[in-house]
Amino acid sequence: MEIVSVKNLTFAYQANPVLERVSFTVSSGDFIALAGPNGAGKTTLVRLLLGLNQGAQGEISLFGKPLAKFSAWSKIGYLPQRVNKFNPLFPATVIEVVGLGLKKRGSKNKEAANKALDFLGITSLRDRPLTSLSGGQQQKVFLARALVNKPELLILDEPSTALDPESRHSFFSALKKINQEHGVAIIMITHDSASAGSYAKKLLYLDKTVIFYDSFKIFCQSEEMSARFGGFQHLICHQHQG
Amino acid sequence: MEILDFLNYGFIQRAYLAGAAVASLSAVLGVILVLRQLSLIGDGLSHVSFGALALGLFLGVFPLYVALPVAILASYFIMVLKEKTKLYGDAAIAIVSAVGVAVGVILASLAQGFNVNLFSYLFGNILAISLTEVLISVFVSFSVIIIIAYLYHDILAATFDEELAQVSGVKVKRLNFILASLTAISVVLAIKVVGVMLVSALLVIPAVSALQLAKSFKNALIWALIFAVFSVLVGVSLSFITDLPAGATIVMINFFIFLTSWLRKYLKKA
Repeated sequence: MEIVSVKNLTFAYQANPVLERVSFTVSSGDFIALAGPNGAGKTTLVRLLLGLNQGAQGEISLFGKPLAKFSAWSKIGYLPQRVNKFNPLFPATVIEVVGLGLKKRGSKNKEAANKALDFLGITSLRDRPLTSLSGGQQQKVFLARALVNKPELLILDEPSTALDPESRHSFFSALKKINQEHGVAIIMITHDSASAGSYAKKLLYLDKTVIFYDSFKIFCQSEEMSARFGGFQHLICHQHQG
Repeated sequence: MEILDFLNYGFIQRAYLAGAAVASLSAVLGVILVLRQLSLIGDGLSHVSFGALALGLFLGVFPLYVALPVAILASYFIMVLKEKTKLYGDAAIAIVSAVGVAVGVILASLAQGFNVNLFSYLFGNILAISLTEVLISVFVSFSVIIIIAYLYHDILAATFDEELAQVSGVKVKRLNFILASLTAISVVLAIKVVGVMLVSALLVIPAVSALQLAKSFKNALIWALIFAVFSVLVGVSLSFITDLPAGATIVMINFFIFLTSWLRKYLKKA
């Protein structure tokens, strides 16, 4: 089932083009690594998908509905890049932050928040103030928040930036489980090429427009991509050779 | 207990009731505003209300009837100015605030006859509050707190992070307009309690004191409410006993509560 459809998306900040005629689709169960150089338009693309930036030309559909008419936001979980930049004075406990992802409050929803914590193995942090946690723990809390509505699509913007290698491994393992066991489609912006190659199924390489969009296997076997990317292909493909 | 005889006076009871209602409302809204880094909006709206009160006196209309719609419009204007012109929040507030005071001063200068009345709004006079004003204060404060309780989840989400709240389906723009209106109502009600000059203290100080102690958002709201109501009850009593102005006494008690809560946090850390 097609859950995201982008056709000829073009966007500019003032006179500077950021995205040019970007087209792609995402289906249920996809795990897509969205990669590209700095300034390639990755975060802008995700913000346009979520309706956080306006003024683009082209078409965006979510779950078969044009973005302007889409209202089932509980089907989408979002983990932005800047979650570690939240107001440090905000007095919120872990369970309060996870509950913020819920559309409505209520005892059933409280249970959903507890389940999301349980799924990520952080139930023990439930009543701790968010500010008392490490970067890796906070990232998991925000992932729990994104998962609390049992979304069908999860969008992550550089989720591993603040994580140490151990936290990174457990974080990506959780993502893999979400994708494989629960069929949640994932779009993940990443500069972490090695992890992207290990966990994601498809690569969407963006540099203002779509340079490559297909499975990692095809990317790794493509001589054209080898000629274009060289080192990047080698780094990303060690899990997909052969 | 002769010393507590003053509790039997009707005007003291009216001051307690209206003060506690308005303080509760201001405290709850204050936590939200402080966390959204909009602490100065109360100051801005009270200054606009000063202009509107002067206009009411100038036109011979009950001043608070003019102040309420003008404060609500000003709160929208601050939001639009901030959003459309990409001004910093405090710059938009500073512009609206300065214009409000300027209008008040010009009208006071033109009329030259109502300066005494305007002075009473500048510093508040809770001990002279009428029964009708008490009933309005209690009813409006209670209604606004019910609205905040109903929108609690969305308010918490948008206060934590507006963009994340938007992606969770919260209609952030609509919510911001509702909060701006509620703040304007709270400011106008609080003018009678502490006066134009000290309104923002009733919004900000209990909230900041509460944030020194609170471990959760709900906790912060409860502490702020307790501090604000306590400051009004003690402030009104002290003001009667010592013959000091009630509004200023309430603000000073709030300040001592803040110092104590900050000191407690500081010593706990040390």
